[in-house]
Amino acid sequence: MMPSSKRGTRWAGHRANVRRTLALSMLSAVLLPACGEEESGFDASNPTAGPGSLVGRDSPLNTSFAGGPSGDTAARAVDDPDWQVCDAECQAYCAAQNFPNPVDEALCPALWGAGFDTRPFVETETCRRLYGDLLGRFPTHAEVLSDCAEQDLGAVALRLIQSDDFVLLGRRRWADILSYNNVAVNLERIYDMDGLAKKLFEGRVRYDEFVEVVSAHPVLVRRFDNAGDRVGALFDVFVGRPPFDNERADIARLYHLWFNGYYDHPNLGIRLPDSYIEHRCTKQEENGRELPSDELGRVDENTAGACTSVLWGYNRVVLEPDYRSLDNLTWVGNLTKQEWQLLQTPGRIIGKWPEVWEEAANDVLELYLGYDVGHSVPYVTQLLVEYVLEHGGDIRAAHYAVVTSQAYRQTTTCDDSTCDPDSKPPRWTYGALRQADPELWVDSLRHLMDRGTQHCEHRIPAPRQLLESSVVGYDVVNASMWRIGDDDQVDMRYANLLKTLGGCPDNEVSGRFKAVSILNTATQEGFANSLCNPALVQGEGVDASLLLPSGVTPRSEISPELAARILDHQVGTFFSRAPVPEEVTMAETGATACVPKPCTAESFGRVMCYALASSAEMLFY
Amino acid sequence: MNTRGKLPARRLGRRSVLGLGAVTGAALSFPHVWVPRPALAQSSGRGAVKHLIYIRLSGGFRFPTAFNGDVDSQFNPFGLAGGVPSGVSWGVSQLLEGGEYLNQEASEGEEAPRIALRSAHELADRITVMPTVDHEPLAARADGNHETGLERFLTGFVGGGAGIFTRIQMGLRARYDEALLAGEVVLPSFVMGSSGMARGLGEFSPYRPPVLGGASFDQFVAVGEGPPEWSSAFVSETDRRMRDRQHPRLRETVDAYLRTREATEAYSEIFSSQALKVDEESDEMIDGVSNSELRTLFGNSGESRSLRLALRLFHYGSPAVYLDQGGYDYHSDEEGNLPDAMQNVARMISALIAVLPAMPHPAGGTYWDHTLVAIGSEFSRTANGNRFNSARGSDHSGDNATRWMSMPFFGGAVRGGRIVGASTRRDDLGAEGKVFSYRSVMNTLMDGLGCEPDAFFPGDPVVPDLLGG
Repeated sequence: MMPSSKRGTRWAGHRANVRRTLALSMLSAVLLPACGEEESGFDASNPTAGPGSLVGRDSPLNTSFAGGPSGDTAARAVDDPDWQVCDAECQAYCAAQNFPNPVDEALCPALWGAGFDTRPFVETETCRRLYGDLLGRFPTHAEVLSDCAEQDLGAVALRLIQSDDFVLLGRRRWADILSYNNVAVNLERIYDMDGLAKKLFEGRVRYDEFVEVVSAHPVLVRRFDNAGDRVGALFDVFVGRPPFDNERADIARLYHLWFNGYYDHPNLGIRLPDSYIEHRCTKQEENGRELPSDELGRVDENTAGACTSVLWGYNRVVLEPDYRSLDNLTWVGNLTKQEWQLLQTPGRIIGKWPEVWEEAANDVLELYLGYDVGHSVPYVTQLLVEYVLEHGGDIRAAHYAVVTSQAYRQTTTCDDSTCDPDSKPPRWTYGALRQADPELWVDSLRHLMDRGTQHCEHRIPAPRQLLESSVVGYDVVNASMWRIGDDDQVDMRYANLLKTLGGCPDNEVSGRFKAVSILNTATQEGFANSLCNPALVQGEGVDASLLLPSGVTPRSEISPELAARILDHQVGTFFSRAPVPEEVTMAETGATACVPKPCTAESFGRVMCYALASSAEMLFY
Repeated sequence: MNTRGKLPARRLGRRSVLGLGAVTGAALSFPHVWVPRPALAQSSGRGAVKHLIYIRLSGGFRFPTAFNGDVDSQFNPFGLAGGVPSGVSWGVSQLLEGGEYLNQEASEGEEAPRIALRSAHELADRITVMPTVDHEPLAARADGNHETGLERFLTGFVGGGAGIFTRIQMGLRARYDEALLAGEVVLPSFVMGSSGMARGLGEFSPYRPPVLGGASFDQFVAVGEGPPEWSSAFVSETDRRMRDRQHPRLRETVDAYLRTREATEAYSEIFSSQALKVDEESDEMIDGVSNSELRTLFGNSGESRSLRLALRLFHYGSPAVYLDQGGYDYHSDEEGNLPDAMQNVARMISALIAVLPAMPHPAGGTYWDHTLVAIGSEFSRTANGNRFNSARGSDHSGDNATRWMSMPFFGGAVRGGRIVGASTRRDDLGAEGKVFSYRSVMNTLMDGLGCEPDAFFPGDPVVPDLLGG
């Protein structure tokens, strides 16, 4: 528990203090079983330690959400629609609709009330989008028909939001936002932060509680070098803008105590980067100045201003050193709940700001709609925030409201005769077509092709050093979502595929990205090729039975009728829908064109598989 | 955006756009117009380099233990190498000396390796070191923070808008224009490590180079292993239908994907070539050396694989390859681990110096003449006045030991054995001489590659005597 960075001459006068703390620290192992959790209770399968474990409820804030999908709304008859103008008639029209969904209600003045209309609701398309966004994989057509179509979409959305898959997606999103990296931060803190994110998406912590804990979480503060940068990071994550100079200067005082040090982990056998509290703004013996023992370490009113924020009330963050401190530093593993709460003052301040809630609401809107509707129509943000607050600050309410809104549910399709290519309607008058995340694309294909589930472990993006550190380190990796191969190394094939496509970020500097590029496309085609094996390379590809309707043997000679059946099976598998007539024609023509003759169901099915799995419809949803 | 005056932007044809997209490997809509003009020479080494290999020693590397070894033991506890060639000015550390990789003798009945490796310390006269490269020479202290230090390394700044390799691609856009007009396929730069090197925001976004995870093209469809010819309509028709069904305002996104699919066909031959299958044993001579020989020379580690692939990508015109090597964040047991880890670095250096002169380059001379190798890290390390910290490792803070990145360079454009920029005092690592910023060094690499100056970091001069001369 010794910080590696000695403070040199500045600490030369602290011998008395050091002697005292050394002696007392020997007692700490006995006296602090609740705080010194690592030594006695390290659990390789869940090595979590930090402030996230100190908050949260046993049961969710909400078991259901009010509102849900609105009925179909007609556009008001307007001669010259302008979404930026909503006159009295428009206001009255929207007020009369009585929308159950806050997004629909807020969009009405810029949509139906202003004379525009949304695109129709295509059930299979919406179901596919819902599964992709809330489960992280696309469904089969059979799944859509049995679990989604012709059902209450609100109930479907609720079921998916309450699933473990949705929680995992949320955890991964916060891993991206906070750039989890076990080279830069003690992995126990990362596990703790991940546990907190899990509670958020299980509805067991309010969003403002979450903000509070994250604001002073080592995962956030340990990655930055000074107090000002930590304020910048806090604002970037939660406020959505850089701090103004006065804000930075003021809140930086509440980050004055954080110190980046290292911790020799007794179980893992390696030195981990970790946070310490430096007991600044307390009375210290400096420059030969001696202090009475009862004054040493007490709050120094002469310097306490450096640890006090005054812009949003009088908030002071000072911790007096005691037997736990060494060299005037206290390791965060030894902090009490009350001390964590004091350190979380920055989050408690900004957690009350409307713009923090607005930023959270806008993030959810952009996540599912793919564009920033909150900036164009701020009323959407406002009503969404109110909706979340009505649900006790449960951020899942925002997710529910957005995915059940008409802006989300409407189709992305429209032919030229209906939608004039030269017109520029507001973005919310047609559906949200987005590029699938690398994980969504790969995991869907793996799932649909029965290749099992695999994950990148977002809590340990750099597993190698940990794996090689000690038996316990090996156990941590082995118990994580990484797979260890027969050679005792982490199997990185899945991760490397994702990394090439922009997923599975290591979070050293850059994180996740989405790109349409030659390299990505070639990689995607290669992956689809490896699954489908259209060239019929011996021993390659998935089992042919997966590509064919039940009852069809791979050696069956292809015919137009059989081709149509195979198409129906595969379009259902990959695109979660039934084929359109054009596709049937394509399949029937293909059955005739297929060579060498006689073409079999397998050879035809593998080609079809490649065409569908590598297609734009698999990548955009 | 026209960066060369007020000439109107030329609309590129569909095929042109495809080709350009292929070479940038990024956004395909590419409204740049290149109007040739005399480039302002930044140094005598301008344009002297056709290929760059840039290696990051990951996690913060304690540079004096390798490349600035003639300092107090609190900075280099391992001491100096013996038998260094005469005339070498920089301190060659003992950790560059010897190694198991030198003991590869031919088995009975086999011929001795055609290209022999020598100990890295014996090659010190081929290597020049800048002992005091600094993130911010005007700053009061070093940036020893993992996140911000690495961000500076990859992008030049904290919050930099473009990775170094994105800048390189931007700076070389005229070269790709020319290749496009000549109907040639030229590969872009590749990033085989942290994707931050390929960051590209705003005006830089069209130039993001591809990030290659796993340093392999194995996942690409090889010629003959893809769908049969008769089925090509299946693929194109499936995509076209999807695209045409979308709302007109959404089709552009899908179009970009469809264009890359067409362009991918043009690259399939390269991606599936035997040359890029660097893991397969092959005696076929490519640029004067076979893949089997490269494997023998470089070994089979992840980074050696990346290096072998880099040499093959250069064959297809790629100007630069970036890779991450190792993990040097040794807060504990650096004393025990670093000597072994350094063997990998020494082997890379030794193998590159051995093989590059043996590879004829299509432009004349050898790859040695046209290639520059640079090695860096996000920061150096400190033991705070001791040989090691209490865990026999080292840390990183704000002091000089953390501050100076002592970067080695070698290749035909670099006269070896020298120190460029400020040297350091033995006892406190105080700088003596001109300290150059890291951005200056990156500008120098770009200058060597012949990048247009508008891709450079403004305000950071090119290091005048690193390249050329």
